[in-house]
Amino acid sequence: MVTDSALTVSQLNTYVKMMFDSDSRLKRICVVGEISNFVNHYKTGHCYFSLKDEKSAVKAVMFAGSVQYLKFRPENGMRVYITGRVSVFERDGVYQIYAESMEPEGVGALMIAFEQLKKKLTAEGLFDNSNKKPLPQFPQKIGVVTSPVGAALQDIINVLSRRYPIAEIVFCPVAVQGVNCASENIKAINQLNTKNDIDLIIMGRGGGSVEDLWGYNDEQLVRAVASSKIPIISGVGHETDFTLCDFASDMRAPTPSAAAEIAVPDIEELYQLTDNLIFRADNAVDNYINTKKDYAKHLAMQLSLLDPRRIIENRSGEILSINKRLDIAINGIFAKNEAKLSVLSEKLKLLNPLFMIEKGYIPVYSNKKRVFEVNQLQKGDTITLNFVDGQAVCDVVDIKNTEN
Amino acid sequence: MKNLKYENAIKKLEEIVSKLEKGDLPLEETIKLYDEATKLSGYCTAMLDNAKLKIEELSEKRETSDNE
Repeated sequence: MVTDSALTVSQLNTYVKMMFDSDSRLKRICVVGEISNFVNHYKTGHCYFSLKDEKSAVKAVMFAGSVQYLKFRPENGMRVYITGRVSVFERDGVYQIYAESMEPEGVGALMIAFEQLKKKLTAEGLFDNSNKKPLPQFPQKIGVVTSPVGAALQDIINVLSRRYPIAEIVFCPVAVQGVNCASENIKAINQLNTKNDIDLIIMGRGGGSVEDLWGYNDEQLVRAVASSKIPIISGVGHETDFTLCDFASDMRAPTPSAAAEIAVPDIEELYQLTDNLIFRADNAVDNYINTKKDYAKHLAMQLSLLDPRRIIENRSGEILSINKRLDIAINGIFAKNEAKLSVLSEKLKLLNPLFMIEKGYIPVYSNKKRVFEVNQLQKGDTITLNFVDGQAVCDVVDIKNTEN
Repeated sequence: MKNLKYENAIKKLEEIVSKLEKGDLPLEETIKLYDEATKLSGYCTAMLDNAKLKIEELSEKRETSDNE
């Protein structure tokens, strides 16, 4: 009967699972598709998602053990190549892909991981300019974090010897690629930060492939760089290589040599700086002394104005000038009076009767009175003419008025 | 002055020069400062003349012995 041969659900699922598992093709298969319904279980770390194309979808799971090797974080919509096996989850009776590795289509996994981490850390503000520490102008002790065998160390030593030999290098040898790169760099940065006399850190390495430089994109290392109390200059790879450490550092240099160049001033400039300062000091002191001298001269001059001898001289001068003015004034008065006097005496001369008589003007008297007009006389009057030397008594014979 | 770092020496020199340039100090102090400036500049120049890059390695061993 039908009922005799009936299977339980479990038996069926077990059987189907066995069928799947015995198929050698399904044991190792590569599938390409788009991720959807992606869930990363926060407790177990397993990832559950679907892989789909235009027509179909298939369930997939990736266990935490495999997830830890992923170089990027899978996201919905991402097209990926999945390698793994196909089997049945007996409890639910569904078949699914058990993914062991995953690669993004197109750009490499590393590039995606790089962009994802960059985005995340940018959003956190880790790369903000406000986080950047200013570089010291004259770093004395410089921590150098790089490989003991690479060319970077020698490059840095050469540049510092040439430009700024008064510096001291505190060298921290680290792996600059491979699995220990990030952890050793973190350790070195932390170690330098525990010392209190390091002014600056240069970290970096020479050029290499993206994979070689990958350690410098490690999230923990990037965080260590950003949180270092000592300013860090990064010089990783070549001009065109950018790592997340470059974004997190306080200054990115294109190469390790360039990092060293940026780190320190040039000794020639320092000689000039010192010369210039002492030149300025000379000038300042010269100016100072000249100013003081001028002031002393000024004071001496003021003092001389207060010299009593000078005051006496000045006063005698004043007296002299007053005397002169007095003379002039008196002389003026004399001259004026003299002139007046001569005018008056001239007038007086004219008024002297004798003067008139001398000139031939003879005064006429009648009855002892001076006669000035002919009308005062009458025919028959007797008049007297007073000459200087005597008198003539005369009769008036006739009167004639002057005709006009 | 012997253990003065270059950075501190040059900063000190800059300070003194600024003070001198203000020109408002008593003569005695001016002379004293100028004297110091000359010494500092000599010190800085000598430091540059005689400098030789020092390299110290911070190795694992050092670290553990330091910690002990």
